[in-house]
Amino acid sequence: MSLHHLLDVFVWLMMAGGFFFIVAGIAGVLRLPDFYTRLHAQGKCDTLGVSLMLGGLAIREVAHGLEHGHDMLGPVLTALKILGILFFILLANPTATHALGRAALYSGLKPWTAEDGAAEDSTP
Amino acid sequence: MRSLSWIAVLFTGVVLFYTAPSLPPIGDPESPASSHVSPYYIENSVSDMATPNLVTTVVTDYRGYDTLGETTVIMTAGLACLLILGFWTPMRRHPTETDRLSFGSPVLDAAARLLVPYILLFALYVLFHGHHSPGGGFQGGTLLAAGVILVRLVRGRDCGWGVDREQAVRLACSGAFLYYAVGLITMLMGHLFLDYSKLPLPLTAAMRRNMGILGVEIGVTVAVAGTMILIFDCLHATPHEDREAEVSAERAGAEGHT
Repeated sequence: MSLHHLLDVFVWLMMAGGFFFIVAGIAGVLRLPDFYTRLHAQGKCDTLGVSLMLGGLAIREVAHGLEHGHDMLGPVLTALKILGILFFILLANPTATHALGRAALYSGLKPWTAEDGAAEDSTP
Repeated sequence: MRSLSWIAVLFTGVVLFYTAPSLPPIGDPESPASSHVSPYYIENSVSDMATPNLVTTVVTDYRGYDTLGETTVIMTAGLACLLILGFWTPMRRHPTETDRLSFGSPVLDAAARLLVPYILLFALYVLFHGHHSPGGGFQGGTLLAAGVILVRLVRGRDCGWGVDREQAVRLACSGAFLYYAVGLITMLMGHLFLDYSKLPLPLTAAMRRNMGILGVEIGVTVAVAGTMILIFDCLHATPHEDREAEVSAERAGAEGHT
């Protein structure tokens, strides 16, 4: 049980977590009733899911380098580039969600309320 | 008229399907494209112009006239957008209320402040590293314009670093002119148009061609960035004056709603 095995366990946990959140986001987009709630599901779940996936990939790159005893400069450089992508997705994804929601509100889209839900339930 | 267009589409489709199988397979070393000029490019790109990126050398040096035409086409497309979309809004006008209204919120403002420097830095990296890695003038120019457009979207027209419509036209035209200027300098030195190896620089011939590529790439960057900002500006401009009151009212309503 060396270090790269331990890292691989982390990688699998993070990738599985990322997969779960992305699937949850898709389910939210398909199931939720209106634009704002769908945006909410997609914005949060995609950001977290993609961050976990990319974090897993970065660790996987380092673990792969350790496992095969390569020169570590290349894997660490690749991992840092992936972390750069992660940083910009963390910044841009929630901001884009915010901008979309703001634009929808300014253009006059009314948020879905519990009364709308009750009205939908009463009509067959 | 409709049936005529159907006939044209069907005819083109049949011709394409009929002729496509006689194209050489992708990556075939015996095909005409890879048996005449490609070996020359692959063997001589580094010794000719000290540039390891084949795509850059082919695009801007071996086929420099072609890219000159492309740059001119992009500039012309920007000017055409200005003529068609910007026809109803006069060129010089005072900023109106809609222009001053920015879309931004504190969140967007903070995110743009964090992102824009990196976008601009990456644009310059893509431009100047185009000799060694994928990239070059067209990509760098698009990124540069994306940075400026992001600022203008978030902070409103007054905060676009002064790159308004007139400035964008100037950028687009001066970028294309820079490309022509590099060619004209070599002509003034008594050699062929766009023959970078005859540029008046105290360097080896290969490095002179390298510098010529860089000059041309900067011209392409400026032209593309100017054109992108120009097209955005044309699309963004509101032709109807009463639209301003409408937007202000909607915005007041939305603020009340939140």
